[in-house]
Amino acid sequence: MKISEELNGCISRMWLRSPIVCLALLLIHLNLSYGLYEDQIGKFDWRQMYVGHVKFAEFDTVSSVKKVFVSTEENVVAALNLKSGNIIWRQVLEKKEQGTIHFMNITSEAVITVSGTNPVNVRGWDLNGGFLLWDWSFPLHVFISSEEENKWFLSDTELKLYHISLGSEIIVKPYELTSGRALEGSKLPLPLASKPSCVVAAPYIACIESVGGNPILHTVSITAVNSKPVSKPLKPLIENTEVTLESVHGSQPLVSVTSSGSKVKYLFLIEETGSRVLPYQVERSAKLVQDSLRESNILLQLLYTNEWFDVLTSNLLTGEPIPDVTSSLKYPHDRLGPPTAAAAVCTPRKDKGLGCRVLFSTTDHAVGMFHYPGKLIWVREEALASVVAVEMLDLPVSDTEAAIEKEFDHKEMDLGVSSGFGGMFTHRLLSQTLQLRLLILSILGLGDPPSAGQRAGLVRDEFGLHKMIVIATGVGKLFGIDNLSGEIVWRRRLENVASYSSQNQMILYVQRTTRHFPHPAQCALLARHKVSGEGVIFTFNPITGQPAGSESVTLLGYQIQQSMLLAFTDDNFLRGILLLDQKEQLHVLPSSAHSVAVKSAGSTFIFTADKNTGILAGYSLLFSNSQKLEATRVWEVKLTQGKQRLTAVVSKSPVERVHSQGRVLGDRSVLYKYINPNLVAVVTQGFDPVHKNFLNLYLVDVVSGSVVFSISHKKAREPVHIVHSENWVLYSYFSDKSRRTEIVTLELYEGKVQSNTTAFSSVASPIQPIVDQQAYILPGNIVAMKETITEKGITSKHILVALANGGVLELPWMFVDPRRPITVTPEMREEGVIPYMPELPVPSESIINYNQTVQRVQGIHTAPSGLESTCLVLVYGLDLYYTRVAPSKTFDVLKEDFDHFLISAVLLGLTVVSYITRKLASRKALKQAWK
Amino acid sequence: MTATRVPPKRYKWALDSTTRGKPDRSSDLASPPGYNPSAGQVYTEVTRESDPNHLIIKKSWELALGPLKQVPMNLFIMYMAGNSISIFPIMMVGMLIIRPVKALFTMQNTFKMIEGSHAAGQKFVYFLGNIVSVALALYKCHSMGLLPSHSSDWLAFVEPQMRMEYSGGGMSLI
Repeated sequence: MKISEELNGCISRMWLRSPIVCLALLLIHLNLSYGLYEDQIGKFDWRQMYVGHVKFAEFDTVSSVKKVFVSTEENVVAALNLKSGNIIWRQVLEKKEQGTIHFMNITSEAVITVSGTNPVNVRGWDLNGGFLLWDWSFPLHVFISSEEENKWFLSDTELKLYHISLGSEIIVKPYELTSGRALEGSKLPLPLASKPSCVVAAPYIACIESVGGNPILHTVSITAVNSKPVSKPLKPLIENTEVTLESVHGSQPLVSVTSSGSKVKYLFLIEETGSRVLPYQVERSAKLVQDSLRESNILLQLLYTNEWFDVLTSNLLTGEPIPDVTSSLKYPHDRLGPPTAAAAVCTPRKDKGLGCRVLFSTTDHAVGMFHYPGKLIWVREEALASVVAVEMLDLPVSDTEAAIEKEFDHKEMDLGVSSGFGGMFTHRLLSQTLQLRLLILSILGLGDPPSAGQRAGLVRDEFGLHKMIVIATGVGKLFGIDNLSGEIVWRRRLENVASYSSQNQMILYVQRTTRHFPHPAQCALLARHKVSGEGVIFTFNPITGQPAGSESVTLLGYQIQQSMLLAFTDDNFLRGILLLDQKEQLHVLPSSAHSVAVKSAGSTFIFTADKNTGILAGYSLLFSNSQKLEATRVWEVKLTQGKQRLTAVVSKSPVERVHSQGRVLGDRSVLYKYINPNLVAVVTQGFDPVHKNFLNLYLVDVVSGSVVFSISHKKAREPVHIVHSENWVLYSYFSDKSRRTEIVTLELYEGKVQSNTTAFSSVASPIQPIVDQQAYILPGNIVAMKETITEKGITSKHILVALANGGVLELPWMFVDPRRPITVTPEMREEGVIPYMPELPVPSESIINYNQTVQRVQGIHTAPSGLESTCLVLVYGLDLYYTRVAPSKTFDVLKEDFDHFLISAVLLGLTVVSYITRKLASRKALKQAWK
Repeated sequence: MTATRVPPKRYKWALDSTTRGKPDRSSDLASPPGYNPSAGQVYTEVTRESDPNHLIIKKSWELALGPLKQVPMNLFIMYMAGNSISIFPIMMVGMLIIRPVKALFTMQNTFKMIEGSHAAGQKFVYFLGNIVSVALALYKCHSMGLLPSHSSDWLAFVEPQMRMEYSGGGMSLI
């Protein structure tokens, strides 16, 4: 159907191009028409939307559909369903500083957010639909970005937004809420000596300062015309000078004060005439929320202690406890970090009791909802909005297959039986009787229970499409996600772990895959200790999430400068990790891999690129001996000068395989590919008064340190994205001159003869490759790029391009081929390249996530499946999107609409008919003979 | 006029109506129409030539030369078929190859009956003719690009180069 559409389109466009071009296009589109049928939506793909770590939260008390509004560190404003935690609406603001949300509050009509630095944007969002109701901004010429020094206050009755800047003096500037008209501002006459700490307790501002060792609380009204500040010394209550002042969210102007040594908080109710201390104290660690109930104000104390999450309700003014809500709930501390309450609301229930909902966020960026009395209603794992490393692993084999594997595992067998034909035969008989017994037992319901993985359905499938996605997040929480359903299978929280600040990444290594039964798979996560900056390692089983070594992370005692996975495995099929510390000392983990490392030392090289100095340095392990591994610096290249900076180093995927070693030309000769596994692409950027922003790309052999190729682009700037695979490099940048995104492709060839057909060495007689290059225009902004990868590398490669509009484009390599000729010659036509056109098409059928927009993509992870044709894709960023792509279509599986029934019916019919006709024919022949 | 001449031996039946005037003045009567004095002679000659052995040799030569005689026809077919790869040219080329190869394989059978002094030569000519046909077909295959005669045809079997050095690393993590 699609083909015929192509054909029609082609015919109708015939007047544009010659029929040959049309035919060529048709042929291309024959392979490359993707798209999805309507009934395939959601069949191979899923999307999970996240909001990020919660910063502000407000319960919706106004509209009919109750929800909770959150704004997050990821610059997202969203409304969550109270019952399920699903996103009702979500708005993603600008990236980084320009979208940072400083303030969120709700009025009866809208959610108000204040975001950005210069200008500051004030936006009103519709409560129910999340539509933008108004948006205005004002410049802050001397905007002090820290949130301590800018306070915001929304007056719901007056519909005014007050901006209070706490500099050397306190300046209040009101704005009309919906129009943004600036009203006359004022200076607050606060008698402040030193730098105070101030909070807004609507409609007052309260500041605390120490004068001569005595803390004094100053309060002043923001809204009143000629307000007079009132000061109150806290001397009899609090004598310590290190005091913390917090405002208690709610309808009454209430602040809490606590000193550093104290275990309690004092509450002060602010009035026009001064502040009044309330006659009771609350626990220091309690989070306080005001609420009103039956015309009286109540105070909620939310307290997390010893795995219990408590809610204490009391009358605000008297401190009398209200007993029917005061309750505690068990907190799932094993899977969630310590929580802090973000917002709470209590409503009277039908049975005259009180129901309280508490929204909490945890240190590991989860957000959840408690209902009192009752239970934990839902938890959202918002850590998944900050993915830093991804791996996809095969699931282990099923129990029965494991039994068969065991049969061939010679190690397991005792020596007497294993050798020889007879031994194998008896072993086979034994194992089959064992299998039969197991089968009978399982039918009868006796026998061993199936393994946990088997029960959960986490076993390898026929085509290797079922995998485990292992995700490491920026807060140090690891997740195991089933790739077919998108469900979280396991999660593990690591304490005090941070990503490497230089690239915001952690390193996830697969040390052993699931192929080596009975050894379980093993992964290792390399990260940085949050406080000391030392390297930490955590090894775990990626299928179950159970730690392989110690229960928590292991501190290494040195900073990791560089790491690599050893090329060879040890006796247990485990690949060791080589670490280079800040003193250029080498370490190998686990220590049992030392001998393997020493054995392969002569052929192992490690390199490191310094972002600041622009120096690439290569180390050889050649001088290691069996006692000690030693890294010797063998080469050094400085790629930057002056203020240039080194922005990216991209090497090839270590699991990549290249099937075709060359390219067939029109005259049927072969252009052999230059496939150098040690080649990396390095990008440096700088500024030049003549050429403005420029960008250099170097292809460096990291074993020998030789620069194989280099290219420079003038008036080109970030975002720069690079894909490096097989014998080609593709990179994109923004062209300042023509104001568009350009894609450049480089392809490297050895030439018509291969210099060495068996081995590739970077050191022995290095070859200078022939480089083809071509540039293209992509109509769109690129946020991430990745190439598809398949098991054997036979399938053609496509580039997955995440666009800023939320689509992920599948761009065939054929379209960005540097050999696309400008003038079409018969040879080129014979070669099968399409004529050069600078603009790359972005057909909507090639958007693999159809209407499932993915916001703020950080990266794309591709992994091969068991099928050669199919590549598994995970797009991560604020959202997670999983799908699978087949760049050369699914040539190795039958189509879904393949009519098995018809085919078998026809075959059966033909067989029957042939038998019948044979019978009939022999009878006829007999009759003929008797005539 | 060539009246006195004896008609060519090969013709069994020939009527020479021009031989009346000159030759046999001495004879009283003109020979009846169709009478040829040398007919007996000719006959004897023909009978001598058409003795079974001679016929067999002749027949077998025809057989032996058959493949060679087909060559011009094959050339013509090849020319007409063109170099495009589609079902008919492929079928033709297939036939061109299969027929002579089959013939070569059944050569023993074909020459079972044939004996005589020429047998070896005939066999050789027959063989040669078939070889020529095969060569022609192969040439056709080659010009159609069906023969794996280029390095590109063997590309799928080229093993990836083995890696001599292993490298790792990247941007400094400090």
